[in-house]
Formats: sequence, structure tokens, C-alpha cells
Amino acid sequence: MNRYFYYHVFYIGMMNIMLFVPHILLKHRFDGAVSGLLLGIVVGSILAIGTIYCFRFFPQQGYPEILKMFVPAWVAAPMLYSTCLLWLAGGVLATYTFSQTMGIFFNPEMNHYHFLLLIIVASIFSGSRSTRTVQFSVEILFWLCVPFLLFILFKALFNPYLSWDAIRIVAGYFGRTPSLSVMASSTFFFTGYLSLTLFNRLNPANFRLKHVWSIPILGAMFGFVSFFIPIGFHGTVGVEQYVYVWSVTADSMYLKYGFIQRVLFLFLIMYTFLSMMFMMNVFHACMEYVKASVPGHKPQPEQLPVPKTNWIICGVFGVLCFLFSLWANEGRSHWATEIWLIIRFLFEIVNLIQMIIFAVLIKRRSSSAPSKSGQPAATSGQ
Amino acid sequence: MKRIAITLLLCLLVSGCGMKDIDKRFYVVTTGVDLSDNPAKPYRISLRLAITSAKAESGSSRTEIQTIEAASIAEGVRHLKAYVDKELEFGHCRVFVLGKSLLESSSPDAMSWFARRRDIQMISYFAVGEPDALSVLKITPESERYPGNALFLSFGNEGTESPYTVTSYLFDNSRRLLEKGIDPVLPIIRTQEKTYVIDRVMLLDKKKPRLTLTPGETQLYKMISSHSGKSELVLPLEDGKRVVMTVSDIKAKVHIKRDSVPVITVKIRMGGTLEESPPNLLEKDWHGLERRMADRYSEQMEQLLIKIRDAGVDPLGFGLKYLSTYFGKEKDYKWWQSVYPEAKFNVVTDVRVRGPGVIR
Repeated sequence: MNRYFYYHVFYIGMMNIMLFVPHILLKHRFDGAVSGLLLGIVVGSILAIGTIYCFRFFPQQGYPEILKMFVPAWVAAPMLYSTCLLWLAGGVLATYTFSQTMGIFFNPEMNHYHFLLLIIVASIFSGSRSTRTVQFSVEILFWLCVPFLLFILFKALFNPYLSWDAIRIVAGYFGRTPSLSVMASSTFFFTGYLSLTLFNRLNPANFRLKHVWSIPILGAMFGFVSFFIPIGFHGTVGVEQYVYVWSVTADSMYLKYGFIQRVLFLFLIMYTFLSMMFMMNVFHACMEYVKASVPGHKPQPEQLPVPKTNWIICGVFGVLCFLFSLWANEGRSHWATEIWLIIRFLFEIVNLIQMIIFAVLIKRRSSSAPSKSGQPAATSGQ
Repeated sequence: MKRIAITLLLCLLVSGCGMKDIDKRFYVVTTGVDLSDNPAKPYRISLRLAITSAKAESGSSRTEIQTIEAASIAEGVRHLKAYVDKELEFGHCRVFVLGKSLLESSSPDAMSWFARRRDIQMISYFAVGEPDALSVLKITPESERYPGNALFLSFGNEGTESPYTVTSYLFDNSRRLLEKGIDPVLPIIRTQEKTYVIDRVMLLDKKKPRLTLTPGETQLYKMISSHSGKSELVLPLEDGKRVVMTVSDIKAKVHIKRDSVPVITVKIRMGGTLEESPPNLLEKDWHGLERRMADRYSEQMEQLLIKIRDAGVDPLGFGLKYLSTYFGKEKDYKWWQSVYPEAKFNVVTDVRVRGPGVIR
């Protein structure tokens, strides 16, 4: 079961490119991005590992069930809605950027609403499946991405045109204090752990996540790769001029012996998979939150066939994506993404505090009324 | 079933628009930009368009050239669409030729069109056309198998691996135009009857061309800039004969010492076999020959580096290297700029001759 958790860490770590995280960091490369990345490793790891430990007290339970154990239903519902809104906003921003990127680099003449429609239809379909199905499809999509990821990484790191001098110069600016938006961006590489809030439902009762030490390493790797490789290709000054900086970076690599010369296309295929994974999970998690807000709702992670409510809720999400793209343009979506990243960062901190409080409460409850099995969380099972 | 049918129908709707078939497109294979005589429309844009055909034999490539004068490159290309019957497609345009006079008079900002266009590959090649870009475009080499192929093969070691042909990619050039401590480099394409000659290189600062290297210097430059093998090392002997070594591998390392003026040490190691030599010369004095070759090479290289330095350009990125070695900031770069014209060079070469070839 460990691997299902780490798939989420992987794809969210890589999704940062679709949410302008490299762009924000690169904008601040001379005033605090490097220190922000280093500090982000510490803060991000604390957030991730802290939350993972708290979830050990609640086996087989997602965030909605835990919340309902401690607060009355009329308080829980708005909290769930706001969480849902937060994640949905992330998904909406990612779909918009995805459709823009595809529109620009795949087929400039095609209306970008068509790309949007394609990904939204796919997301509605995949997001409305049962939690178990989503979990398995994440695995499949992940393994489809891996060859592309390794290839592009290899191609970039061993490229003779990658200027390690430029990378070293920027790394020299580590003594500056990072701003809030830099911190929010640099902690995004670690956000994958939040999948536990829903997928913990599927973990067996005696589940203990292994290899937690790898979370800081993975996050740091994603952070350094997505920040430093564009600098190596476009220089310390030139890197700022590109909006879709990673697409352009992928385009700067050259396949001498491939069917195609441009690595860009491989990169876009990989990002289609990653965006698909992200959208599927966002739609699915938000849908489950909305459903859980109804009093007396019982989670059914393996429900088959899919009920109509799933389709309706995901359909509404799809419409919201469309409405956003009607309003948005490049500038507005940048602005919204930056704000979203900051809100997400604050939410993660609040979430950790909340989980610590719940964990302490459940420990007290179980010690005041010791259960027969001796396992603290068994008393709170459904 | 009904759901699947609806989804499929939606897909039909999506794929219908925006696509244009291959036979309704004109593939641009080479783009040339020159300076025109008309000050209101300073750019003369020429496109070499491929006439597609099913044949791929040597000599079967056919192209046509369209030329227009315009106030900016974007306007010119837009206007050119009215001259042709098919949609222009830049996705396969891998070579961009800039006229020499254009580079001397126009600011590089006008060139941002190339980097901004989304369908132009960042890995396309840039070069200077001599005497102008249009005359380079007009050349149609006999051996060309498909349109524009001859120039594609010349660069990037794809076809010929000439030690004189320096490759300059779009992303590399736009980085060098902005970066502190490294300057752009462009190869020069000259025309000769029905072929191209690409054996010179033009060194630019951030605004204008400053220096053109001779073919010999270009080879030296390429040897340390891109560590290219398949180049040659020549030692003329006293009796008029020459010893020529093919260099199969070369490594160059740069160290910069911070003093009252920076001392730039370039350590070069190369190895190869002799290709031309008087008989039995190597066996008489193996190490002596290696040392003489190395000394001569160091001297040539030092002269070249001084020549480049005196022209006020830094194509090898010594400034960048300096900043990265000492984690330099703004102040260090200012200091570097003030002392670079007096920088000292120290080239240390280590030549290893592997053997005299097949005969003694």
C-alpha cells in the first residue's frame, strides 16, 4: 500500500510546472528563491511528516470522517466545502494552464476551448469513479509517465549546453530572505501527502507508512530540478523572459536519433498524463468531500456501479472550469495562481494544527476509556 | 453504450477545426532576414519554401523563394501569406540566416520574433549570410535530397563533422544576448557557386558584431568552445614539411585567479594520431615532438584569446566562469568588466600522440 501513497507525492511534485511554480521562483531568483527552496524543504517536510503521523491515529478514515467525530455536522459541512473549494480552484487553474500550453505548443490554430473540453470530459469521467478505481488508475498513469520523466531528466542533466556556471551563480544568492509567495511555491513540491486525507480510507487498519525519510529527498529533487534546469538552459538573465519556461526548456533539447527532433512533444505527452492524474484526483477528492458533507453519509470507496450523484457533482466542477476560462487570461491566471498557492500554504499549516489537536483528543479519549483491543483508534472505527 | 456514443460524438466535433492537411501547407525550410534600402521598411524577409514531392532522391529537391520588404519581421511574414496559395508553416524551419548588414545596423531586440513565435523550434540554427541572406537562400546544392536538407546537415554534427563549422542554436543565442559574462557567436555562411562554405565565425557583443575569425582561428575557437574532436593540429618543420595530427579527443578546463588583473588559465589536454609526417620522425623523439606541438598550439591559442579580448567580446564565457567561481554579484561583475581588457592568459597544453598511424 506504500506505493499508492508515493504515486501522489510524485505527480503533485511534478505538477508544479502547470501551476507556474517555477515561474514564481524564477522571478525571485536573485531575492530569496534559493533560500526559499532550502527553507521549503524543512517546512514542507514538517507539514508532510507531521500530518502523516497524525493520520496514524485514524486508520481507515478520511478527513471528513475524522472531522465529523469531533465537530457537529453543521460546522463540519462548511469546513468541507471550503476545503473542496480550495482544491477545486487548484484543479481549475491547472486545466486552464494545460489548455493554454496545449493550444500554444501542440496546435496553435485550434481553439483552446477544445483542449479544455477534452480534458474536462476526461476528468469528469475519471473523477466520478470509485476511490479504488482512481487509486489504481493513478498507478497506471504513473508508470506511463516514468519513462518520459527519466528520459527528459537524463537529456537535460547530460546536455552539453546546460550551463553549470549559471546554476552556480544563482545558487550563490542563497542569503536573501524569501517572501511569502516564494515559501508558498517552494512548499508545493511536498503537497502530495495531502492525498492521505481521502485515500487513508483505503489503507488497511494496521497500515504504517514506510520510507517517510524519502519525502524530503523527493521534494528537494523536484524543487531543484524545476528551478535550476531552466536557469542552466536560458541563463541567469534570459530565463525570466519565458512564460511557459519548462516547455521552452524541453524545446531546447535535441533528439538527434529520434523520430522527432523536439523533446517538447515528449514533454507535452508527459504533462498530459500528469494533468490528467491531477485533475482526476482533484475532481474525485472534491466530489467525496461534497458527498461527505451530507449528515449520515457513509463512505463507500469501492462502490459499483457509479451513482448518478457522482456524475452530477463532477459535471458541476467541469462547468466551473469552463466559467473560469471565460474570465481568465494569462495575466489573471498568473495572479490567481499566486494567490491560490499562498492560500494553500496557509491551509496546510492550519490543517496540520487541526490534525495535531484531533490526534491529542483521540489519544485522551482512548486512555480515559481503554478499549478491549488496546489499539487507540479501534474505538473510533465506523 | 449511449454514454460512449455521446463521448465519441463530442470527439468528432473537437477534431474538426483548426487542422489543415499537409497538402494545404507550405513548409518554410530556411528563413533569411536582410536590411533593405528602404528606411520605412528596413527588413527584407525571404522565405525558402519547400515544394513537397514523394521523391527523395539526390537532386530532386525543389524550392521556391518569396521575398518581401516590411517594417517588422512579423508584419512581413503576415503580408507574405498573401503571396502564396498555402498556409505558411514554420515548424520545420530549422535554419535562420541573418544578413551581415542587418546585424551591423539593427538592434537585437527586433530579433525577439524568433523566440516569441511558438512554432519555431528553440533548437533551430542561426547563422550570418555573406554577402546577404537572400543569396544564401538562392543556392540549391545538387546533392540535396529533400528541400533545405543541405543546411540542416551542415550544422550540429548531423551530417558533416567539420571542425570549422560552429553551431549556434536559438536558445543558446538568446541566452548569450542577455547573460552577463558571455557573448553571442554566429557562424558565417558564404556562397560558392552551388554550395555553402561555413568556415568562419562572427563574434558579437550585446549589440553589434565586433570580430570575424579566419578559418584557422575558427577551428581553434571551436576546439576549446565545444571540445570537438576531428580537428587537426599542425606543426610546420624547419625543412618545409608539416606534421599533422588528427585530434580525436580534447578537453579544456578554465581556471580564473583573482589578482590585480584576472589571470585566466586554460588547460587543454588532447590526444590523437599522426596523419601526415616525415617518416620515422615520431620514433626519434616522441616526447620532444609532443612538446613542440603543444608549445606551438599554446602560443596560437594565446594569440587568439588576446585578439578576442582586445575586440571587447567574451564568447567563451570567462566572465560567467569568474562569477560562478567566486559566487559573484553585481559588484564583482562591474569589476570584471573594468579589468577584462587587461586580463592575462596562460594556456597550458598537453598533447598525447597515440601513434604514427598505420605506417611508421
